[in-house]
Amino acid sequence: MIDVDVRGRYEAELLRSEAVRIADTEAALRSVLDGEVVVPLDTRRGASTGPVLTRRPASRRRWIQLAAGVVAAAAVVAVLVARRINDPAVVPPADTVVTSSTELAEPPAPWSPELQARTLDPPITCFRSASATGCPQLAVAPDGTLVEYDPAAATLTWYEDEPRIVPVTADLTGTDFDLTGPGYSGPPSLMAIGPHDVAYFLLWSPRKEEFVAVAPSGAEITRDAGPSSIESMLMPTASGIVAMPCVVSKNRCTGGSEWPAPDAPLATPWVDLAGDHITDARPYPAAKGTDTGIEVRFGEREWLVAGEPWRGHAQPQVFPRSDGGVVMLHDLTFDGPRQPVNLIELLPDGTIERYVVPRGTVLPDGSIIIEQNDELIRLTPPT
Amino acid sequence: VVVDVEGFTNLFRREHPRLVALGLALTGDRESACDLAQETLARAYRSWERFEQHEAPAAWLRRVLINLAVDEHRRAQSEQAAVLRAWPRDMADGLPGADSLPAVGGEWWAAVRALPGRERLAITLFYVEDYSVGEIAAVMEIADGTVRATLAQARKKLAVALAAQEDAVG
Repeated sequence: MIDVDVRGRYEAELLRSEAVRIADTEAALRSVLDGEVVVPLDTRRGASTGPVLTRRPASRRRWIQLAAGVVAAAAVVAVLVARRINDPAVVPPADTVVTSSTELAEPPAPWSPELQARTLDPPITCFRSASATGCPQLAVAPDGTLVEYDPAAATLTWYEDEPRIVPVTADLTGTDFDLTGPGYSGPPSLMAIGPHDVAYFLLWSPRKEEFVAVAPSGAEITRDAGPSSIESMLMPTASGIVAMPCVVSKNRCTGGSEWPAPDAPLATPWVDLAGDHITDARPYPAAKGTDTGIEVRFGEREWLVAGEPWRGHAQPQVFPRSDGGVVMLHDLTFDGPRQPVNLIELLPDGTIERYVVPRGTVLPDGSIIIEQNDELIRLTPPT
Repeated sequence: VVVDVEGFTNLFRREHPRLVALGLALTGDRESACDLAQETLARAYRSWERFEQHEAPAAWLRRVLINLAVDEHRRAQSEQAAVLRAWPRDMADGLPGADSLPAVGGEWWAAVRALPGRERLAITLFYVEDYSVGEIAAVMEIADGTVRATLAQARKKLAVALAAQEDAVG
């Protein structure tokens, strides 16, 4: 039986992604503001005849659970709408990543009230509608620098002392993807910034995916086909990004009880600027579900988050803190990207602090950037 | 016309990609979709003072785009066939048919295009814009109950059409 709703939403997502790809919003805006004659509707052009395909696109999802990943990462091929392309915003140095300017008077739900909520300076805004979340894609470089990817402008912005905008010249259009029509690919997703500040993009489709490693200059270094099983969860390790297969059932991606799984295949290796495979010398946190809770290891340190369940679909995400601790995001409900998750701070002295936050991008100081009212804000645990 | 440039710029950046998507769904043509979105927003710019006072500016934008799409298709049809088609009963009836499909999701949009005009438009707004019944009603200027009934009818027909497509593929 055809599920019209599922199919309709899926096809609409593809269409919106295509629209974002073809819409040259800034050029169109300039044309209107400059008073140029708006491009006349071409009445001589006949209706196009797009191909009717013979294959039905599989309704699969790419499950993304990746450190320093995308805001609202559980969204499937989220439509990414460019935020402002004004003069680059000045953001403080990397060790603080983004500092505060305005303390929010009354932090509304859904985060723990003891978390300090601050707007970013300058503000980073999102586009939100019932159909799309247009927050920028964020990742964190090994040195803690916040990096933003704007898929519409095809730029990476490195929020260093002075923001540095780098045009991405690597081909992220995925035009060779054989999907529902010629030239289509899902919007590229910035998955991680690896060693040597190499950015790793995922080009996603229901049938196929590619990882593209992009140099700090914006040029392509390597391109990998990605794992054979698209239904998998991604996680960075010392070797690269691994894909842990999972079983999708009832909108959930259920995997094993260990992150990363010992036999998880490598989806894409870390590479240096020459494209040679390398291993990251930095430690990566790992987690394992036990009868008493979740064990977390990071370098020489270990924690036991007692009583925290590991329920198949509720695998935690673990992120390194710059002080040697770990941040764990744990979604016990998996009811969607808008649902609050547990933020568990595993401090170097063994202390464990628990909070509730929306999903977001974890920073090395233990804070998290989330979307709130069409704007990205930062939640910082008390010190 | 006094234009709040910052306000218009924000509106443009927010709405342009979405209008391109709607145009793409309605016309199946990338260039037309971009033209429609730009022209729609240019009209908002040219009548900014009135636009700002509008109770439902998003719905206004979409109505303009839909009407432009209808006009464009009608003109194209008349030029190509040298036959002036009958005036459509409602604004959706003049939209391109199944011979004009977006470059993505061809099978789905073929089924959508085969729907009667009102159902086609309601389904498009429901999925592409992710609009609620009330929002669709505002754009189409019809009652909420009519939207619900229209969507229900459209879904039934789509289920049948998509099942037939699957059977045909084997």
